[in-house]
Amino acid sequence: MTNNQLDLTVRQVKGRLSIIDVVGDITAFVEDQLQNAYLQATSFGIDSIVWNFSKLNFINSSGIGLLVVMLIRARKQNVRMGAYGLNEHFKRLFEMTRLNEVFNVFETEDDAISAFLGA
Amino acid sequence: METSDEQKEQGQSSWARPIDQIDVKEVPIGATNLNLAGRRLVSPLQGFGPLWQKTYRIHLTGVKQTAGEVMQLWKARFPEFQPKENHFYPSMVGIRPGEVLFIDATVPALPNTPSVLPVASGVVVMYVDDTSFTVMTPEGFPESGWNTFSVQDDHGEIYAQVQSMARSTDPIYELAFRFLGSSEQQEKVWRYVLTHLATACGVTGETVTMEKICLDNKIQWSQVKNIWRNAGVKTVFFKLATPLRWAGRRIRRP
Repeated sequence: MTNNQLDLTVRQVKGRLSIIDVVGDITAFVEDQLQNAYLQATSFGIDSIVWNFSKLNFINSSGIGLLVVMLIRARKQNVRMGAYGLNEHFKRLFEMTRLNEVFNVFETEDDAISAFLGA
Repeated sequence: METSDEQKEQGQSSWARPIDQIDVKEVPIGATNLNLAGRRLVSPLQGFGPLWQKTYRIHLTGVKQTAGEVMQLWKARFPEFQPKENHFYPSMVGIRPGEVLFIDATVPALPNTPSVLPVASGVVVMYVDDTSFTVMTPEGFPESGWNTFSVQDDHGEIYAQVQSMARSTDPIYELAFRFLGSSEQQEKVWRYVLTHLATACGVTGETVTMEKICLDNKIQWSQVKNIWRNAGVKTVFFKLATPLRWAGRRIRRP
């Protein structure tokens, strides 16, 4: 079903926010990649991370678990987490798993940046 | 990294449809229909106690079946592999996304004593694929979160695994997990399940390993309110009132 491939790119915006562009699948096999991307994103000394899920292809229940781990980690470090680019299926998934109650979900990158940086 | 629409559809059909509240359409014979209908599902983010990830694993040494075949067997006989103190009722359609699985469990009142306190509840199948499935708990269940049952092929070696990511739901359950033996009982249950799955695959003598990681040791005091939906408390009162309900029915009968 899945090819277990994932590309993650970390970008910095205005020195206070990191955007992680997600391309591919999030499953148990990509735990190290996600951890590394998170570390890279926080290494800039930022206070917010936004995940760009517009090219997320597939996520299974283990992948959702990994996102929960990232959220917990971010909370401990007082880093806010947001997401944008979720299609209808992934929005419904976030609702079912109630991730939408802790992830700030936005429609576009501009919305996310405005909300987090007040630009 | 390009993926076909067909692959996307398959991925989507693995997941249950989101629900606001659990809708119980059919109750298996003998199951207690309590603490499920109308309840919301809860993730590890909504519970009360520290967040634990517990992974139970068994090596199915020399097994002839593929990971997919072992999972097929596990899904088909899931209730059979449970110990009597964690009674799962088979669902009519089996392990499918969105399916409600009823559970009548008992838990110990004190450490190292028999399980006597009833807890009637259940779980909802949230995700299913060829080699895994995940169930999510409803409000009032002892734990808030999910359990993933999977079979993995690691370079030709087959492993069966139960992994939970959950917090105790409220202070009563947290006390039970910490001091009254619920945690030990939970470990016993999953060891039993994996050992019996292994036996069904023709594997004996393998031991179950357990890895326990505290992902977040914070108590979420904002979730104390969950106590009002405690399935254990409600089940005890429901059972105690059984003679009264029976008498009431006798009196009303013409």
